[in-house]
Amino acid sequence: MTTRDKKWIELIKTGGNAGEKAFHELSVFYGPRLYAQIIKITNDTTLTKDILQEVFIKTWLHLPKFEERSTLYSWLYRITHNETIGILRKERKRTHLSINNEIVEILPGHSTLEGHSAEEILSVLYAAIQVLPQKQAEVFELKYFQQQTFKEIEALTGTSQGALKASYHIAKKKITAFINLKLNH
Amino acid sequence: MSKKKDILDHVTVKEKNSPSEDFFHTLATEAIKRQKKGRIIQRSFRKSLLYYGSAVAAIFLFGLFIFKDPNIPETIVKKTTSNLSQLSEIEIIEYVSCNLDDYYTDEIIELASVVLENEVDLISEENFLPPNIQITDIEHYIDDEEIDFYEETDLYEFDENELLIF
Repeated sequence: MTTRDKKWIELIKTGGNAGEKAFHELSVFYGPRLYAQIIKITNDTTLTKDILQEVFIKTWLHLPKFEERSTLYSWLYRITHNETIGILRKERKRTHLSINNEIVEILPGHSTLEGHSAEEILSVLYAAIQVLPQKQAEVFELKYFQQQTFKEIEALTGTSQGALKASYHIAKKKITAFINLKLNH
Repeated sequence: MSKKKDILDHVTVKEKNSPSEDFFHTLATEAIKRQKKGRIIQRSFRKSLLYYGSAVAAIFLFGLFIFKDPNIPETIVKKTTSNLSQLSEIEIIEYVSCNLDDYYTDEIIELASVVLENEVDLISEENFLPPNIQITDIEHYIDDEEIDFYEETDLYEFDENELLIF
């Protein structure tokens, strides 16, 4: 875990004004990443804001009990993921919420992708990410969707660039195989 | 159609604008506010629970005192006593012997010891002694047989029914 994260955790656990200030700093730092994680699925700014609000509430409530068995970002990623899936399920029951097809653009030229809509391809892509181990899913999220460099991801997660590159490479291979299987079936 | 390029190279991510810092500050402020509000609600709930619990306990205790009014049993006892005084002791004993199952052994023993202490003469000499036997004959018999009536006896050695033979 990074020194920055440890400092925030310590201050928040202590509580008081210093804890609140640390929580604000944490929210501003991780907020955009979590926001991007949510909106690529929802494509709805209001819903994204609601989900992110819930994530922040849970973070503020449960961070004092955080046992630091994972990195702070991994913990936040998991909360965000669970919250998004949960709320999305409820929303889909009420309205037919379609998958965001404005987040990605499908470039022509690949036979596997020919004849499939962007929505369908994106749906399979998200399904592929779901089956990845969390560490690989996190790296993929940050590198692929949020366009972070390995250096930036290293600063975020505390994992070495070498390990991150390896994780990302394996994640891409698994996702590609999954998409090929689903779309060619 | 080329298959050489990776699928993911054909699925490009469009850039999305991220909200300003103020947006995330607002969310953080709201999260802290909600948590404090939640604590107040919890405290209020505990307080109101305490008040209601105290009220119920007070009502319960009050009710206990009402129903445990010491005067009530005395009134009943007095009335019962006045009714019983109209009955002879033999009638009472006969009633008890017919309804023995309604009484606890301890109650019977206690009653028996009270009766013995009061030395109620339930059986008159006239009804009990045959004409040819005198009291002095009985006294001589007792002395000869060394029967000690003053010896303490454990009433529990007696059968329940024997205790009614006074």
